[in-house]
Amino acid sequence: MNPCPDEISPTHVPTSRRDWLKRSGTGLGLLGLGSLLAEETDASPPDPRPSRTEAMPLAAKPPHHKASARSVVHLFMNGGPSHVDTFDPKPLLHKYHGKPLPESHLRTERKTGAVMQSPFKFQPYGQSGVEVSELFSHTAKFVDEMAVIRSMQSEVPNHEPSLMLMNCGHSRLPRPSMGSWVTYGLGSENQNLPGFLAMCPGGYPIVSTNNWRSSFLPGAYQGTYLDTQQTDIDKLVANIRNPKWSRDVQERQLELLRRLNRNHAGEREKEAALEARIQSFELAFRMQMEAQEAFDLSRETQATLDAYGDTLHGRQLLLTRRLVERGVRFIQVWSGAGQPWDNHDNLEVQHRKLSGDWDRPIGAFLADLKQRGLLESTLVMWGGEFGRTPVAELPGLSGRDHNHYGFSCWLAGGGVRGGTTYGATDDFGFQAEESPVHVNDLHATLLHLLGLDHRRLTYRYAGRDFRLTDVGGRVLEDIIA
Amino acid sequence: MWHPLPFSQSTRRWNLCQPLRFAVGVLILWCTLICSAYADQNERFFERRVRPILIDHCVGCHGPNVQEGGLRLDTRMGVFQGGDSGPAVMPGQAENSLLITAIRRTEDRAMPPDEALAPKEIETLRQWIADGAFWPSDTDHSGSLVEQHWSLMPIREPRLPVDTDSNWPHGKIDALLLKRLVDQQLTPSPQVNRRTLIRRLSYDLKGLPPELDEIERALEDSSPDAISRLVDRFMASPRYGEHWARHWMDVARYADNKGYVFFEQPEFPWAFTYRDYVIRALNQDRPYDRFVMEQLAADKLDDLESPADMAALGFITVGGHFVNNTHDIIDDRIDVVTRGLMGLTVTCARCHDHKYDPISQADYYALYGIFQSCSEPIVPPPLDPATAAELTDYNSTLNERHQSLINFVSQKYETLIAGSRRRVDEYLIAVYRRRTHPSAEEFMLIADPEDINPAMITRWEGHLSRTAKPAHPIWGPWAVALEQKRPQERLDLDSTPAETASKWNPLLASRLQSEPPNSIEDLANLYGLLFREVDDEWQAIGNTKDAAPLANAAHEALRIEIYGKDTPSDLPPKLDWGFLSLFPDRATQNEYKRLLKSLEEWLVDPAEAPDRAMALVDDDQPEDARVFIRGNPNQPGERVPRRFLQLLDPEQTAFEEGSGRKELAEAIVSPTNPLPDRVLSNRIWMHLMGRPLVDTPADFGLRSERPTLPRVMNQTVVEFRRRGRSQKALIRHLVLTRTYQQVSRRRPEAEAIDPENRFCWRQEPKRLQFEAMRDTLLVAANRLSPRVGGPSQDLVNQLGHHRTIYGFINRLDVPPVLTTFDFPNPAATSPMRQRTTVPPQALYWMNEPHMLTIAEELLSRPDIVDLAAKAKLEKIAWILWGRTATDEELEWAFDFLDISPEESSRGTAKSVSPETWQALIHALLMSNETVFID
Repeated sequence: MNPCPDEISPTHVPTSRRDWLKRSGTGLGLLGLGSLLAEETDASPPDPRPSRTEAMPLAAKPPHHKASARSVVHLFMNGGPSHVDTFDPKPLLHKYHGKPLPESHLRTERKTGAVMQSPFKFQPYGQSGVEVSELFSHTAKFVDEMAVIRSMQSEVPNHEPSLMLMNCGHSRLPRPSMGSWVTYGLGSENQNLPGFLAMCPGGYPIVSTNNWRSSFLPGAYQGTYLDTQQTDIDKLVANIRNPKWSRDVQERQLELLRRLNRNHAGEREKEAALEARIQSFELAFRMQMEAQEAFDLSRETQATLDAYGDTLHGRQLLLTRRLVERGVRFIQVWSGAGQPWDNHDNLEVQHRKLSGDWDRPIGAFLADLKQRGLLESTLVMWGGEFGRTPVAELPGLSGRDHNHYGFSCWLAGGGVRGGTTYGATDDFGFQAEESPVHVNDLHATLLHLLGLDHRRLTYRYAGRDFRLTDVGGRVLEDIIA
Repeated sequence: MWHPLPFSQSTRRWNLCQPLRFAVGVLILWCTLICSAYADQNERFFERRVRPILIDHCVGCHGPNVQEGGLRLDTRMGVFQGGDSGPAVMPGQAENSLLITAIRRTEDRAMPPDEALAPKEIETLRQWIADGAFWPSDTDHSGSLVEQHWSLMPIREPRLPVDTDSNWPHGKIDALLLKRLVDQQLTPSPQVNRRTLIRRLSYDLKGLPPELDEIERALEDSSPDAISRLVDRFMASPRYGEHWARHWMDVARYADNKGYVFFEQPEFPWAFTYRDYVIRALNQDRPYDRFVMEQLAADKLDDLESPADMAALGFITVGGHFVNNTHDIIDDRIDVVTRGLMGLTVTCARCHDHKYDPISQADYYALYGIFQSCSEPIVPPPLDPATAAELTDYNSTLNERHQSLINFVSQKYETLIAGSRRRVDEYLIAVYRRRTHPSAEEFMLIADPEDINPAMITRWEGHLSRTAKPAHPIWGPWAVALEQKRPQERLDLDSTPAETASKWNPLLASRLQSEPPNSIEDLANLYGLLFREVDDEWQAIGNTKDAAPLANAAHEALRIEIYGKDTPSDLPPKLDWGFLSLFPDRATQNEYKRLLKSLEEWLVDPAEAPDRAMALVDDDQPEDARVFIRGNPNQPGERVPRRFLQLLDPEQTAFEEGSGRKELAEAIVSPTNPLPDRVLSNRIWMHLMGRPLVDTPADFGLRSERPTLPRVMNQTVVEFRRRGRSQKALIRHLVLTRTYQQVSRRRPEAEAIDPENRFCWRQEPKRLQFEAMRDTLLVAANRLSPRVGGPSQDLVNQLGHHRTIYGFINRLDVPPVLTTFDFPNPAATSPMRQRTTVPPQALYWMNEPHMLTIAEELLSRPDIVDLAAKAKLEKIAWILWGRTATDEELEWAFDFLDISPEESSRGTAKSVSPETWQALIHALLMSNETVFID
């Protein structure tokens, strides 16, 4: 008896081999699906018995409601970009530059002093006329595709808990990351590539792999880390290529393995767990091919390569597009190891450099997605774990401190209402004043766009049902197209 | 292989579906079989079906935290008295009850506001009211439902079935199982053949393949007790303890480091001493109660076998450090003790009473007080104190560095405490202004050394929130001032009603008269001055603990306010991680870090540095905790005595010996507490039979489903207790049952009745866990070291020679290969592993360079290298699969090698390249048979 047939069933195991093949084949037209189906004819009859192992945890699963987004790309500006220098213009800062804030001064991690004006110029873009600073002038060309949320809030002004909140929905307690929740809820559309990738060039960010952990969800939903500073596929994906055997030798090995396993399973009445492992080798074999092809940027045209630029973030985003194209569900692209955007001092120079690295590739990425018709099914999300203060940090007065009271992020594509802004900070950009948005709300909205009801996407652990949004979360209907 | 439980359950909806299942299936069985005649249908209906709906849909807005419309739907009184619109429920009159009209959305009030209840839910509530709206007494949590929950019932030996004349059973467990199978129209599976049984036993008992001569010996032994002697040999091997220790380490959330920390060394240099303790204790088969006692309170036991057993306390201390957030560290410890040992999710009660189980927030903070009153010594005790004592030079440097740290910390404490007395004015203002600011407890902030201390501000804030009431002798004026204060208005304390003002401290009152404060700031200054005067007076007469009180009672009362118990200055010093959170200025932190680092390096680095136990000791002044309202440390509520859970100790006896850890341990293992033995027996059953009897091995609370085989479960626990809680004896008993020795083949006719094998009509085929899988490869390559214990090794980047249990577990960055193979995240206790099958596992087998090394080394084993091809392959089949290779398999292998059967028997087939051999062996390693146990 299943009294809740509409509930997401993470154990949904396809009931027949053909069904299973169909599912694992969804969205991977590039693959040798034909040969796979052909092979079925001489294989054993399908086993209608529901498997009691987690046979294919990443098999695509139906959403709760019609989804507008199929995949998510999270551009994570770790360290905390300054919202008043990027997406939240505050002209009043000029008037008070060098003077104390006229209103209450909120407590942050460090001591801060006088107001610091933005050294960057803002101007309206697109038909919607949303103002963006010169730091993101290429990105801003797509402002009509974006919903800029200017009233984000997190809970504390420290990196570690804010990263945990942004990525896992809770500041302190060990909870699964949003990419894990999403792949748990929806599986992935390409079984030959990981469903959830976390790219961070040069090493880990603060709190490292906790940012993409699966926690109490099965390990299959954990983010696969890629050090995108590497360009060699072997260094990008673990065990993706054999150090010694040629393809030919591998094929012979697998042929022998098939025979051994078939005999073994035959004596055991097609035990489901055995079948699952047999299939995992077939998939792995194809994954080697698919991954190498997916990660090979040289297959792109020169025009595309030029548009993205031969830079770290250019390569990251071009790779991201190739992965989105291949049905990878959730891709997080980090700014870099440590916390690059954490500009406590020398902000003008640092922010200019960081945005300089990002702006053109993001513009190229959005243009490329749009041109290929992928933007409508891809939710692109940009932001950090918090923003920065409108006041300068003592004693240097050249940078800004952490600000969790108010900051910005933007969403584009994937069913987002373009050309909108949502919420607002106070006149100085210190605190979200109009329609504050908790991170749980952002997550609820993200899940909603993916076709998931954040209240129903649950997992029973330690005696209760957990959610990405804990006990909070509200869908921001106003930014949905 | 069973279905990983959380999956199977999460297909059901949280509150609605479980009760339905109960109603249909388990409930009926349960009632007829076990429940006493007193079972109250009404209560069960209410608890299983009604309360969950209310909690799920209503209590968020009509509960303890919020009462929209003045209505609470979480208490009897709330429901029947109702809110602003009158009673929500009129017993027997469903159609007239506001609750029903609201949820039917027929009148203007439509509830819940966002989404209507399901028709079934509405019908449940309607029926409940129509039947009289039974609601149990609000205060009485120990109702019949609790007493009758299967996991809490006393352990009694079930009656044996009498109507069986079968000769199948070997004992009571078999007999009870058979009865159950017959009732279900099932039959047990046949006895497994001996060869398969040997392999099964070897992996289940040792986590390793059987040695070839062991197989031979056991196959040839025709005596009736051949298998039981084989079992004895396996269990006598130190490999037994290594294998079962890993199961326990999953429960103990073992790792070799703290996770992310900001200031200190992230490693636990001696976590391995805890792991080695577990291996030793299991190999020596310490009774389970003793095993638990040692892990919770080794420091309080005077009959430890050796000082090295102090390492047992790693069970508590080896958890993550959560960026040194004290509350989270204690939460983790409460969790591992309650969920890990008893299957109770006590940490659900951190912020509010447990929603389903009778575990109150007071219970949580009773345990919190125990762990709050313990610390990890900065210099932990050496495993071998006698030898360590002889290291004279080493110890003198150690003491020097230790003393420097102590001196620094003590001096900082003195400054902090003195400041809390002499800078009261500043603290008052800070508390006053902080209302809009987050507190230091909530985030790490960076302060200057001369600043008043943020942690102390929090203490003052908490103190004032408890004491500042208008009639309070000392803080009365402060409370009145806060009530009055409007911007730009002058304070007016004179108009305080005499009845209130007469209660104020005379010295304070006269000062208010002589220098009436105009503002909050004035008042704070007045307090500050007054406290400094009193402190000066006290200093002048000696300021010792034993000094007589100040002569003037009013002065003495003020002094007590800055010296007495439960005041902000009553702050016990912490040498360990608690220190950093108290001193957020970078200068102090840097100096602390420098001193700590120098000490930590000296503890670990020198060659002669002794191994130490990750011990825990009681603080000198144990302190009861206050309940944190909604889990918020800044909202301390009532104090709770340190004690056991009310559910298991209705008397609520307060613990008195030190922190109370030893008493807690005794209460947990007390024979009257049925939970630990049930929980452990279930897990042992799970490891042997392939699936647990209770599907939720970490949750035996009220919502846990009764085991499918309740009598078998009870009998297993009885057998465990009968054998003096010996784990080895229970394991031995279980593997000698016919239940265990069934074949593992599928049977369509049985699957038609019980597709998931819940009734245990066959043995579950098992896939090797990562550890056994990797160890098997080391055995095949003949590289396994016999060493037991020792420091943790990097076993991810190098193949090494040690069993996988000796690998270094990095909690912050669990190696992907472990995660890929379902290694549980050591963030929390985790008694049951997932069983996923994903392509990255296959990629590991196909491409991990270690596999090539294994294949190569297997081929160069002295007992293989010189054999002819056929003989080689036959031998390798024995090594990997514990059986003879079939002709067909040999043929395929020759085919792979491209040699004829004739060539295969002649010496070494020269024509075959070593690479081809290697590729062949690599393929054999990957086979399902290598990793599946029948």
